[in-house]
Amino acid sequence: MGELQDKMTGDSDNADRLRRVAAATWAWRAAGQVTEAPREAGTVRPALIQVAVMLVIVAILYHFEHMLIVKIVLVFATVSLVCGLFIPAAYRRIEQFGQFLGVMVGSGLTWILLLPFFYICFTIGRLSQLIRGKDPLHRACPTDDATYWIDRQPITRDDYYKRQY
Amino acid sequence: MRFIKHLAGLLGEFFGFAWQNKAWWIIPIVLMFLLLMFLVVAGQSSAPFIYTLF
Amino acid sequence: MNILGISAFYHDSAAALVRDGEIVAAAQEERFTRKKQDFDFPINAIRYCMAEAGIAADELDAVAFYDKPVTKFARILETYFGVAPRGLRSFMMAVPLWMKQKLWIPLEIEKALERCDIKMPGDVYFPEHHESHAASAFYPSPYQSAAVLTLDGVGEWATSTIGHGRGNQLEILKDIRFPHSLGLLYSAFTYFTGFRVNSGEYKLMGLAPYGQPKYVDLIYDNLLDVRDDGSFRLNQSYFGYLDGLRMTNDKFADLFGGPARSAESDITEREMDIARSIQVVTEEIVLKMARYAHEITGEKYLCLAGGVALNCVANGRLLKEGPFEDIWIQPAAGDAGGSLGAALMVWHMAQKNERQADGKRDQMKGSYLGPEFSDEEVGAYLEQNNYPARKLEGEDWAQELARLIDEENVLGLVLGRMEFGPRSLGNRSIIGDARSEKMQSIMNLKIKYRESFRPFAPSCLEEKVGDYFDLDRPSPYMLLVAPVREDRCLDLDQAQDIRTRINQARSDVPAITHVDYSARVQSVSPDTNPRFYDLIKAFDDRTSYGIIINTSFNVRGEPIVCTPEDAYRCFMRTEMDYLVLGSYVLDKKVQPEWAEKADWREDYVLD
Repeated sequence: MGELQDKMTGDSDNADRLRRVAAATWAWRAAGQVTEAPREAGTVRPALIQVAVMLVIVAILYHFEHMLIVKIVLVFATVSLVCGLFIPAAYRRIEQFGQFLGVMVGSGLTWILLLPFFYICFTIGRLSQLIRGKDPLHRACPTDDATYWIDRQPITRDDYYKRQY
Repeated sequence: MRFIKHLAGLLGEFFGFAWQNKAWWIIPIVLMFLLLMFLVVAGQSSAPFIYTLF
Repeated sequence: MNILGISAFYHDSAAALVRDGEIVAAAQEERFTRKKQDFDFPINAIRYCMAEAGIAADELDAVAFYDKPVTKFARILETYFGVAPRGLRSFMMAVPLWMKQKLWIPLEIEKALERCDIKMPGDVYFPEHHESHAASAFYPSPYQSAAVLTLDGVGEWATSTIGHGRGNQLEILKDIRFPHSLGLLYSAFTYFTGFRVNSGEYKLMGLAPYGQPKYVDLIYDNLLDVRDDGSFRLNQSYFGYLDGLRMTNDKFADLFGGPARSAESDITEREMDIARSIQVVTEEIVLKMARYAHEITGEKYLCLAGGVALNCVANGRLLKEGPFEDIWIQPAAGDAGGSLGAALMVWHMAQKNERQADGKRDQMKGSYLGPEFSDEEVGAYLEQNNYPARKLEGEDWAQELARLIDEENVLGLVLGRMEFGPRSLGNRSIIGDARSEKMQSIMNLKIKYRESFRPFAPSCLEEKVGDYFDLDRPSPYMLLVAPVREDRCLDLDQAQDIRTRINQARSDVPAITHVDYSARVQSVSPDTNPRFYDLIKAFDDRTSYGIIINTSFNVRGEPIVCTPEDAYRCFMRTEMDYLVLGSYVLDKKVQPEWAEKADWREDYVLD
């Protein structure tokens, strides 16, 4: 009797497990159902944040009397606000364009910032290594070394496994 | 807030690394990278957070 | 105690769950996202592991990441210091990714767990890359103590290590460091012969038997300096991976008398000879390393992991000619297996929990560690989609499938839990009759859509392995290559043309006999996979051949199928005859017409 009960409990555990796994990894039931169209993200909040940022910029520019740029930014802010509040589809197009512009500017800046950094930092580093006759990569090949195996030092740090180094 | 916590953790790891290996050269490089992090684009990813404000 | 192991951001991301030392679940991310060798953070694999183990929000105790990101990042920076002003392109690709993603592992883990509704545990561990590999090889192995050898491309600095496992203790004794790497050397030749690095290495290995080892001396004389203990250095002036995006450079091409083969162009005798030569060199180095590991540890057994441990030809030679009584290879030897190793490392080394191996059985559960789907779930799915199917139960199931195989049909098979690692071991497999002369080319060209030279592997009843192969022990994970028994082989003229040679029948099981009369064997045990065993047994009862072809259930460039839905899609896209989903059998002839864009193959990047 006990054995039968164990088996039944085991079976139901297994059925639970299979249900969990199917729900986590195979979404065919959800895909097959007629679901409501996914609600699109609201546009009011991002538009308000954006307008707030632009108003701060306007205030700063106004202070320095850059009146033309102030006018341009105000036009952008108005368009953003109107689209964000009343024409979400248009706001999303603007946002998409903004994303695209962001990627372009970001890609450009990536090169503008990192390229000089690479040449300045690493070339100087390399020169200093050459002068000191060091090669951390141990590229010399062949050498007179009896073996190329390197002995490991025993682990002494208590936090060794918890550290990222 | 969560980001600050992880940033502190990461800096701690690099300091620990530099201390242990006497490799202090890594600290300015990493600080530089962390400053640039908000401006660069990696691979095909979307625009960094900072651009989406504008 | 529940420990989640994670490997991510290089190739083949994966997650594994270890509960009180027992391996509960493990899966690669690519199977869920359907993106081959997906390297993104394995959120889907993590979600699966949590579901499989039934872990509630506050029940995860620790997370283990499979390498030490800070050390690895420092190595990358040191490499740029070593090659500047060259290396800019590689720098521009690598560094932004590090800045935005790879340096933020704990944050990534926290975000992923949040998406799975799991509370971030206080403890996050970072074993070293090769420690994770070594742990994945030693802890699940059947041995209480053993030498451990790990070989791959590169982790932090190490590219190969020798370790010593005793009980729950695992110590790395020696290593070889970047840029000197056996994995990268093999990958360099993969690239040079026109295959994709990180996935084409199998093809290079499969191509090797067609060639002659003409370039072995050239390789030894120019590309590397090897010591008797297997340690080596690579002559970096021939390689491009330190400062560029190519594995080899012009000097390398000059050495081999011409540029690298371009992808998908005709394979010539040069590629075959190069493949054979680098295979020989690799085997010799692995053998020397193993002898040295034996010498310094004094152990009888060897555990292997790391991508190079998937070179089953080298493994076969190591078993035959090496100093060890037996070897055990982690079936997920590549980086995916690092997730499992990291979790086990935490359990045994960081938490200091005991380990008892019985000397006979490993702890991998046949590597069947992925999701499975019940007959009820499959039945409901088939019904909803109006896919006609027969349900077979009891002995009928195996007998009917054996009949279909005997009639030279090709069957897709989805049974039980999905395999962890790159090999299909009967649960996500395409199977067929190994006696059939036309099966190799049918399967390659009409089902897998891949190069016709590539061989197929056999699945064989465990007790009959010796009847077919020159192999005296089980090979449950398809990681050993063994010669087909001589009395089964046929004498042939050595035709030169590769196509003629592919199509020659070489034994009475021609579909699985490679051009050098070898085969990559899987022995099937009733203990780890009773249903697959029953199927082959029924085929044996019917035909007196306890052996069938077993290849992974996918097309070229596609990850192996995971769900019955993936399997049905693959089944309908190819010229497979039947699909088996648990107890259900689907006949292609009666399925509704498959409407899909004609160019679905463009969805997959050819490997």
